[in-house]
Amino acid sequence: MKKFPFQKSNQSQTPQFNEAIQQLKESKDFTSFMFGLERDTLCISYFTTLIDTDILHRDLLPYLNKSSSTLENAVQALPIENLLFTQKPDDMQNHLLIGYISITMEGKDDQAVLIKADSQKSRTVSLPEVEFSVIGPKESLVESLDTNLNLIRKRLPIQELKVEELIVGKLSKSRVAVLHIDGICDKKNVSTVIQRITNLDVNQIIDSSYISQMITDKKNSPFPQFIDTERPDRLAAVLGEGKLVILVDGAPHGLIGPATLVEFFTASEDYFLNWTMASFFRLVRFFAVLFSILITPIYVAILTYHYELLPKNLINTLVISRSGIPFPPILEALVLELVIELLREAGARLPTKVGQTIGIVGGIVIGTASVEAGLTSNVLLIIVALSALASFTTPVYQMGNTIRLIRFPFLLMAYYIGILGVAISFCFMLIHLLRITTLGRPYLEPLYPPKLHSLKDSLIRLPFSFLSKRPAPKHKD
Amino acid sequence: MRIKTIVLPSIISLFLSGCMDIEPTVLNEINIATAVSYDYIDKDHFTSTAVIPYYMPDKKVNNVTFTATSSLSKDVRQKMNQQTDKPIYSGKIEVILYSTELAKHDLTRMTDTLIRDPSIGNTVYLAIVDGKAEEVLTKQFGNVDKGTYLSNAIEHNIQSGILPKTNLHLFSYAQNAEGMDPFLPIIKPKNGNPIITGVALFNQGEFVYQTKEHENVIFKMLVEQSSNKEGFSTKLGEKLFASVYNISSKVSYNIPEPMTNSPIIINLNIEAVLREFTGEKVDKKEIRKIEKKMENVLKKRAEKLIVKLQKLDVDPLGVGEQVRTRTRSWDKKEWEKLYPNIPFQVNVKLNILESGAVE
Amino acid sequence: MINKNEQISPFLVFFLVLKVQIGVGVLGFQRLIIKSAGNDAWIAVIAAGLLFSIIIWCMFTLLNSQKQDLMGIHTQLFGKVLGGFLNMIWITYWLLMGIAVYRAYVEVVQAWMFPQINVMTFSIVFALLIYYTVSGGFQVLTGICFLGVIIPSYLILTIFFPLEYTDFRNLLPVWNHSYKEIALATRDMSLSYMGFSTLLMFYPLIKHQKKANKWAQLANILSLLSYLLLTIVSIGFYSENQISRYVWATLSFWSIVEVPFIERFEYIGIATWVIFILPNICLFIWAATKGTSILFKVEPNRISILFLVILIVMSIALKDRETINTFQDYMSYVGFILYTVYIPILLCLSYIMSKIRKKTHEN
Repeated sequence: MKKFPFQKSNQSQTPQFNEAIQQLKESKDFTSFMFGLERDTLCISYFTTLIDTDILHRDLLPYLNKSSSTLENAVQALPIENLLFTQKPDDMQNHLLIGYISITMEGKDDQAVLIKADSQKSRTVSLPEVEFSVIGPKESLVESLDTNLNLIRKRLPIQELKVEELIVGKLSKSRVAVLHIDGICDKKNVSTVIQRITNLDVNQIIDSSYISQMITDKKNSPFPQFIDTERPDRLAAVLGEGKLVILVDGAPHGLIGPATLVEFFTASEDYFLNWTMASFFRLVRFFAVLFSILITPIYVAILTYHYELLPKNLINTLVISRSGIPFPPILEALVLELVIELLREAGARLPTKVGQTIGIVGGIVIGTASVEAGLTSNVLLIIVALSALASFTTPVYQMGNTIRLIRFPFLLMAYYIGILGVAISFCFMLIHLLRITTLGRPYLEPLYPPKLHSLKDSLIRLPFSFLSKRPAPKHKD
Repeated sequence: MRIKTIVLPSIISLFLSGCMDIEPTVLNEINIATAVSYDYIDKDHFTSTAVIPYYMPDKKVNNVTFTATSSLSKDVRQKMNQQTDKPIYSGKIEVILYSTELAKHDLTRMTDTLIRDPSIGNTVYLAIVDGKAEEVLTKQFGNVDKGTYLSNAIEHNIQSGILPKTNLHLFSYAQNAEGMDPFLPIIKPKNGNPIITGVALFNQGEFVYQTKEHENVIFKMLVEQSSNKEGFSTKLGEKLFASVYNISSKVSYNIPEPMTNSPIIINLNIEAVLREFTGEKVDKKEIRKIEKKMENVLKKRAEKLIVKLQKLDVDPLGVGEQVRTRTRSWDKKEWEKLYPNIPFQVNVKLNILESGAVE
Repeated sequence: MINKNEQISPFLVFFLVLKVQIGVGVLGFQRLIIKSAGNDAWIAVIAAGLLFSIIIWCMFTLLNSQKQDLMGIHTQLFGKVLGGFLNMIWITYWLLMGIAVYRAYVEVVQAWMFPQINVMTFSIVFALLIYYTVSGGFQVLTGICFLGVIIPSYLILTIFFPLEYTDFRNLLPVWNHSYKEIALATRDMSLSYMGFSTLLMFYPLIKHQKKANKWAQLANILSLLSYLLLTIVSIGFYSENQISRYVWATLSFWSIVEVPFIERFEYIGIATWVIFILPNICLFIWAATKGTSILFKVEPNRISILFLVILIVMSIALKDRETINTFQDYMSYVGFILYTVYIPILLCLSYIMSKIRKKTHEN
């Protein structure tokens, strides 16, 4: 990690406020001017690009006591709620950098007043795009941390909702908020997360996904260990279940932790629908995931080694579909899987309208053409397309990526030892899942260690009357 | 930790570089035999014919047969492979046919290799061909593969026709059971078209008797709990016929004194539906009359069949098993001595439940 | 001493015991017992189950009184040298049991699926899998035991397919064999129930140890019931001479199973069996590793690597069915003595010792 010398240069000596202001003046967008009635006693400085000039002109300048001799008197009449007095020039610099206005007094170089005047330039709250649901609330998080906190607090107007704020990143100085409900959330989890975040030694935190990757228990696992969501209603709901939520300023996503595997397959829509439907959809999702991981490897295994497994009527279809194809099934499957990835990647990089076109071009034109050219069998094309489709049913985006990735080792093993290879890779996956912990909790909970009362809201969702108890008591002792 | 992350992938890539030594059998690069037949040449040799369907892109199926002669069935495969473009695999064989001549010379040796080979399923159908077995396989008919055609034919005759349940497992079951003899369906080629004509009875592994047409239905009823769409008809009087099909039949044994010469009573309960009647009106009395008459006919047929079986000294009904499970320390030899002379009594109870849509 | 997070709740003992009891033996135990007890084999299944219920009780009595694992009991009762020697015997037994189970499985694979499979490469893959599990700690091991019961439990549905061909008259006449024949079958059957001796090692890792006995007994009963069900169906499904020819009777009746999208179910069964026996082998290897690491104070992961190398070498060395069978017979014989003779003796000894110690204490 590179060290930035200017960061700590100020600590060796204590420069005066004047000097600190002079340092900042090297930036073109920094303004500092003298202000006063008789003589210019008050020095007002700020970054023009960071503050709301309305506040400066409307609320600050008219109310300054221009003739007073002390700083306290000068700002006494300001209609602004919290004034920060600071003796440290360092502190002043830091605040100026996040949109404060500082007022110092000529000659009295021991104190500065800081006034919050940052301009709230951010997107307005809009519809959720990734986790859109037909019914239910339609607000989604935005880039501003304060707005996001507001969206959550609105839903949980209780004093037990605690927000801890940390500053991470030597360059980005990102505000990271850790939210939890006192008394429901496990204290140990909160302290672990805060500890891990404070220990981070990084330059920039651009998005919440940075945090989620950096503070997970198993960093090499392809499985995500924090749920990433853009729905404030979901955040509020899981806070009530004893999870903690991490919000990062500048990221329109919140992180939920500790997140277990089954929670990646729950959508907030599950709670908006009747429990019978919700349970059915959840089971469909789980089935889709298993299908998505296993079907192509099983196809490869059966076609390469276990023709006996096929019913007699199916052999006919498969032999015809594969006749004249010059590649072994594994190559065919790998190429098709990669083509699907290609299409997905191309679709994701292009603007929405063009992306749709790519889907159509890829799906119909390339698919049909390759079957007609005798490069791939149409049965495999159906299987690969279906398994790709199935991988998109996961409500959390990262999980879908994981599922598509782990299909490849399965495929290779299926090619090497047939259906045994599929079973062995499945075992590897199970053991891997058993070894993962999220904030010290087993990842497979409540499936293993089995927790009967939490199972009510895992693979299926029982009616609300069954769920009155929280899924798992998070108090320890 | 660092070492592990380096060593593991390298080991994996090492062994995965293709030394698992498994022979791939890619579906379209092998010939999948669906039916095999065996014909007798002399005491040590037989001819074997395998059918391999070639699936055409226009959904047509060409059945190609390969023939070879040898004394061991695995040896035969070798010889067939010499004739084909792709290796022949036996994992999807549906039907195995033996000629009557071969069957007369002990099938045990032939079925042993089938049981030993794990790639051959337990649900394979075995059948005896009246004549040359090869003939059934060599002639092309219809647009299906031969193995599937034959297995479907046998299957539907088991489900609703004259055949009792049969497959490789049941054959080996009966062969190995102490008080039971196996049986197999028998097929007769007629202009190349296979026709299931009845059941071939075996004494252990040797084919001894082929059931006649009128014996088929009663044989099936005696062997197992069955339902049958074929039914049977009787002449009730002059120009008066009735025909019924049984919905279900149940056979139970009553052996008051096992392992003695005292009679064995077989109770046959049949529930049936009247299907055809040439009389004028069907009322309760008439039905009772039909029932009585039919009971008598069936009883006679059954007893006659059993006497015939005793004379042939075969026990496809598994009477021996019935006796064995009723005796402590059963002696097979003693039973074999007893069997031909035991008097049998068959009690048939026919119950006509419905008389169709008219009265 | 023991980390609370490492400990498991007592009801998971149910899965640990059940898992080791129902292992690779399920695929072909019928032949052994039907050979000597014929249609009365099911009596032997019950008898062996009850016998092992008593042995489980013995183990728990022993462990509950000593409050430590077998290694500790040995050194406490017999001192460092003799105790260490006895420990070595058990460690070897566990290691060889792990190998026996693994090799039995590979034999099934060789006979049914891939006759030409390269045992060495396959063993390396499998050894990696075992290492990945064992190095994860006991929690992971319990987890895979649990999933190893839950996931393959769908196989129980396949029992309905052979019913069509089953004749339950074969069970008659009841008690048609002499006591000696049934006793012989009971001994043969006991091989299938063995394996829970690893309990002697993981006992300190159970949270409320007193409650665990109940769960272990329950597991024993469930495995008794499943063996009983399988035996009864097998007796009905096969004729007596026929079953004596099938080495893997369970696999043979899976080939009856046909569903519209899959035929020849035994292949699926063999694949599922990976998840079924992996916990078994891992538990044995884990117990041997743990024992050795306590005995010689070495880091467990290194020992498990050593043991896995032994496993690979042994499974290559055991080449044909005859040597494998001799090896397994020998193992079952040793196991039988260890369970039915050694454990009760140890229980008596520990009881006497504790009495003596009490007296000397009072004096």
